[in-house]
Amino acid sequence: MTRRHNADTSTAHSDQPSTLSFSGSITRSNFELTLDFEVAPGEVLAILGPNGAGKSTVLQALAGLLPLSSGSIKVGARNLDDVTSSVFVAAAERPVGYVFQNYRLFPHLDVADNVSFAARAQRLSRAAARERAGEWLTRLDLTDLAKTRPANLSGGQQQRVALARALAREPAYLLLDEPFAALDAQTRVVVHSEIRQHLSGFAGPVVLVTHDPLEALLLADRILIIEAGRQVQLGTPGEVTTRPATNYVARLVGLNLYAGSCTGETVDLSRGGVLQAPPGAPQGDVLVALRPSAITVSQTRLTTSSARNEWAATVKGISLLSDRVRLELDGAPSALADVTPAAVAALGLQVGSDVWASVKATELEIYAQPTPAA
Amino acid sequence: MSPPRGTRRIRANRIPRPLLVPAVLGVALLILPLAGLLIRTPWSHLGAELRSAAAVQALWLSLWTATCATAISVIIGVPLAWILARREFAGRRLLRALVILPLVLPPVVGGVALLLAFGRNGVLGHWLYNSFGFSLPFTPAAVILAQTFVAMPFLIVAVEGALRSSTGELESAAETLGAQPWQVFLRVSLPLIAPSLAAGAVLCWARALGEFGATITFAGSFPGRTQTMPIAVYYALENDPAAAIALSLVLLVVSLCVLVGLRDSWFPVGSGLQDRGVRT
Repeated sequence: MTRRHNADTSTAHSDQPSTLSFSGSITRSNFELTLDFEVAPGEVLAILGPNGAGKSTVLQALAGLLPLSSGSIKVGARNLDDVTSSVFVAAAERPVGYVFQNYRLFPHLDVADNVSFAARAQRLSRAAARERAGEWLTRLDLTDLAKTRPANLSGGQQQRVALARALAREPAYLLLDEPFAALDAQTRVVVHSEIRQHLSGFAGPVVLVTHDPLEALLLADRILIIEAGRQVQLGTPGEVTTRPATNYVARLVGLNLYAGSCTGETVDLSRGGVLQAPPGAPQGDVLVALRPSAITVSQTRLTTSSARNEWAATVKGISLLSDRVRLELDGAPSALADVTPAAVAALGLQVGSDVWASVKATELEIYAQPTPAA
Repeated sequence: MSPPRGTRRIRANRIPRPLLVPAVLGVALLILPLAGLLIRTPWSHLGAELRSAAAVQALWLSLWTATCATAISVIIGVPLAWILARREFAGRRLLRALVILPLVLPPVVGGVALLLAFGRNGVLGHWLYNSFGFSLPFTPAAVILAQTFVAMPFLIVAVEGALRSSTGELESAAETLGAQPWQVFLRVSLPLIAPSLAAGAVLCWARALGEFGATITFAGSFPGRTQTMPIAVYYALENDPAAAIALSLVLLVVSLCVLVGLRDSWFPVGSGLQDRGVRT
């Protein structure tokens, strides 16, 4: 690392919560990732993307474990990493709280010593540090486990210790890396609501990394989606789930997505097919999002239906979801359609069946194609 | 529904003859000399042999010099291992090769090299003698230096391996909690490598205790001053074989103790199983 270490503490974080901003690129040997986002105090931003997309490296850059290759990171007015002005604040000097994937608890220290680690690093005596940590142990309901080693804790307990350890540093911003990945499914449900509660008590910005769309939807105020090294969408859970910007996002949230061009009330889909739009649809290049459950599947053409869109398709795949059956329809356009198991039986559906798919124009979510992020 | 007894032989665990014969020879080669040592041990007057002034002198000298060499190895070897494991710099591979060279270098060559460096006419020794009137060779300090030269690589290899294998993630976690590099080392790295450090130190001590070639070349063989146990054994063999055997027996017992002691240190500590008394 050639950039000089910034020893300037005059602009160190005050008690006033500040916005965290990231605008720049991270370059590793196997990928480059360029992102631009801000997280307001009290806001939870989830970074969602496939495994190996470099989500964790964003947190490492925010924490000061990895330098940016271009751009800057700021908390409030304080520069933490700025390539053009050669500022790089080392991890130990950043006001960061970091909950790692797999937690990284110190195995040779008990819970109280883990939680008081930051205070000890500030040269407090062991007794004083443990006393300060006591408050966090109480808040996260860990008092009974104070003298337990991490190896003897359950996954959920380890997660609470990791959170307490990060919060005990009283950081200006909090980073969570796949906080639920190490937990079994049953623990996860309980812990989701716990974490939500603890996060709401934290005044600063929170960045959460996950590959699980459900976690992002449950915990985040806004979701940033990474695909192939760039951010493809940044919006509220509502925006992301109804108006996905790319096919990847649509798949994540379980929607059919078509690109096309809208003229009047007719959308010409770029990959084949025509859909009738409701009145007032945006004109020009548009995206059309369609819920699989909004599609009706029948054996014959519905001549008396109110659905304005109807097209022939072939069943290419059938899979059972928890309480419904997902059909993979090949046609113009191709689509995923959800029907009940009873409907599959009644229609005698199997792979290769020829069917008619229909959908009401009002079920289509039509919106202008977002301009790709710079 | 077990198969009827005696109808088939379990062949899975059989050792093929081409492997068995050399293996048995190997066992014989390694064990027979030790058995010979035990058979020829003068058990009746073993105590007297070991209490003789010469034996006690050599024993005591060996113990304290090997301990000093181990202490020095820990003090300078652990930082060196840390740098080799944790920092990228030009020539690191070369440096590592040089540092562990004494593992494979004939000890007598090490002794010659030490003599050329620290002897009265040596590169550094010349300066030492002219400036401070201090001559290193043929002193107990020379014994310690020779032992450190030969034994420290054992410690470095053990510690560097431990540092490389595990603690990087925990060190960065400590950084994000505001710990300065020195604090990270003291509070995280060092406690985590403690078992490997202990194992490396024991190996280092055992190697120092058995050091012969470099020591006799660089420090000579002055009874009470530089004549350590292995050297005493070598000289005693000519005129007092019983004493040589008795001293050898002591070294054998120490080696066995080290082996048994290491068996535990080499199991990873903190897996949690031992703590909870779980038997797997």
